[in-house]
Amino acid sequence: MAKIYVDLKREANLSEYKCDGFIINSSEFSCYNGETFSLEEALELKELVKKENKIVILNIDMIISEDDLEALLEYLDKTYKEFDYFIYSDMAIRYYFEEKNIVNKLIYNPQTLVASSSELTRYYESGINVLLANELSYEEIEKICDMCGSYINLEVYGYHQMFYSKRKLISLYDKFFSLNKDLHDKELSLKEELRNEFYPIYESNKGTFIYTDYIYCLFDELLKIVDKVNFIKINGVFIEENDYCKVVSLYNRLLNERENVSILYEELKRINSNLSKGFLLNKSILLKVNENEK
Amino acid sequence: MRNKVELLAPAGDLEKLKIAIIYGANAVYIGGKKFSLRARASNFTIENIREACAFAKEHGAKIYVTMNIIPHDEDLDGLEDYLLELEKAQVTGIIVSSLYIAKVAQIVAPKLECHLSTQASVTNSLAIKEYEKLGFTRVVLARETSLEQIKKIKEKVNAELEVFIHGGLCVSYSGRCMLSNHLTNRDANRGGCAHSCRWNYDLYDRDNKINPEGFYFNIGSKDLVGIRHLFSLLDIGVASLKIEGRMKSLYYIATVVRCYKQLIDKYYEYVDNSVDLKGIDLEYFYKEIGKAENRLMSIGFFDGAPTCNEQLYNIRSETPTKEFIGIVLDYDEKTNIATIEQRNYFELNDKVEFFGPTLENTETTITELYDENFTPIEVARHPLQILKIKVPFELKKYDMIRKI
Repeated sequence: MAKIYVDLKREANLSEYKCDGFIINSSEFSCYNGETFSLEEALELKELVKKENKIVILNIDMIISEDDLEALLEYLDKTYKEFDYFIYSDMAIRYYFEEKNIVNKLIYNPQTLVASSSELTRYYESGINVLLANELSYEEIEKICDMCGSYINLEVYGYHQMFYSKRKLISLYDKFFSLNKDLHDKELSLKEELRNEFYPIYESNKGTFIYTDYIYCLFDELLKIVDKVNFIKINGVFIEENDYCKVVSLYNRLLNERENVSILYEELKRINSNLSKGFLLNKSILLKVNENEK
Repeated sequence: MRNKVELLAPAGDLEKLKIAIIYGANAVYIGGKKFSLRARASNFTIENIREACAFAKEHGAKIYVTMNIIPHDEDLDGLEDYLLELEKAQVTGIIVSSLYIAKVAQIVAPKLECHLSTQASVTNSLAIKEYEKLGFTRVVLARETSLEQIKKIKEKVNAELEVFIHGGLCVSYSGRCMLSNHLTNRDANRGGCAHSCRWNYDLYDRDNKINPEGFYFNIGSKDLVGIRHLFSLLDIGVASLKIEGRMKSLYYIATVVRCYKQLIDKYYEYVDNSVDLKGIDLEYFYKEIGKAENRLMSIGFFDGAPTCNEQLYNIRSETPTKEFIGIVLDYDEKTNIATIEQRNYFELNDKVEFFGPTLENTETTITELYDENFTPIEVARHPLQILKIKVPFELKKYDMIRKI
């Protein structure tokens, strides 16, 4: 049975969450833009999660600069024995865990970089878990399941990050136009001049992030591949705690009460109707080269 | 003997590749028809790549082939054969971001060097050590790395470091941008970038528009120019300085490559003779670049976190200050007649400037203009037309002419 991992929210009552594990998003080293936790908080929360007999995962998925390395190593020294898994995207973290000979604690989540069964297998060979890229069609996901001959891990619900810049784009704009608005660490939205969608944009001290205008939702299709899924991640960014807990319950029921998919999906839509299948049915384009193109 | 830095230029086709090498590039990176990120660049066939390698070898230069697509399963057909062909063509190395492609290359075509693409967004030394273990001999650093950080990294790693010195900048970490894919269904990681970061946006705080009336909220970055930071990069000892722009014109490549080549040569000349580098007039090089550059320039992350000066705010400048009008095919010393190929409209009595790999900028006026059959004409209006002009100084094949 596929496990369910969810982001830990500050007000969460852990026992109410029908999940297998909690992801604690690090204030210091994750680029999660919901509730994050300092090292001290993370270590305390870890104990609470353990008491619930759940898996505890530390998210440290930011891109690490050379200036961050010393602090990162100190942070890892204090945490590597304490958590069951670590979500990362920077290879410095893999290097650290390889030195400790515990790469099986790693979950690689570079958002975009693992989009094929061959690439996935390359990580599995090293004993590293991977979250697949979010921009895959269902056909591709199914094919990856078939071809890699192993379990896969998927983010199945939530606003997807589609842009990660190190630049403080909102503060810079504010400064350039002397707006004097306090826009840092605030959920704003972005609208392209010719389009009607509003994309969440968030600037933190890690940089600027832009998200999909919809909540990606892989739901009924999940049942067709569930036997090949190791874990699913339900992304909690920009989702209210109360709603989030309900969403997690519905996924739990989906995996346990498979016959009620359409009813469950209706319930899911009642929580937030802004759901989309993203690229599941809509393959992105690889622009093949036109031989005559100059 | 010290290892001199490699000047690495882009090329979208064979003609540009030859110009890049002739104008001073020590190496050129090109895209093949498969596995490359610039889907709209005129990418190279295997035959083209063979010819490119032969030309490069003749001129003591190297060829790298970009294979930095983030592959989906369907993109990987023919990978082994392609790698074998590259190795057979004597390509020096491939630039990749996929660990799978790198591994296959190491097995089936071990003579190919594996360079890690900037798509992997590497900004620290430990990550580089990890990639060293995975067989990469060179890492193209993320453009988010400052000079100070590059220096620290260089002291800790064995892999060669390649640093972008000039050209377009992604505002997102490369490889981590899905804007184009989500907004236009064109996947930037598979060669389809629609440059959505350069579009116009409005910024909202709930229902309130934040950007001032008459202005959009822009997130795009100005392009990179590394003239002021070049000597520091050479002091640090990076292996390769990379110019971005496989879609750029022949003229742009010639101008930019020549400019950096001259600066690099001056650096070694001054350092070898213990002459203070402050004596080099950098303004001259900025002006030179400006003759071909049509976009606003900035220093990117070289000095640390970008400021407002590095961002594009409702300002677009797309017109080069000088116009490229022709390329020299031949020069007859006895008659002082140059045979040229026309690239843009010009007229008799126009003031022009010649420049070349070894020719300093030299101004003159076109006093005699003929067609291919030596019939006098007054206007050169046909693209690629072969023309004859009288020029009172010696020219070489591949010298170029711009209007002033």
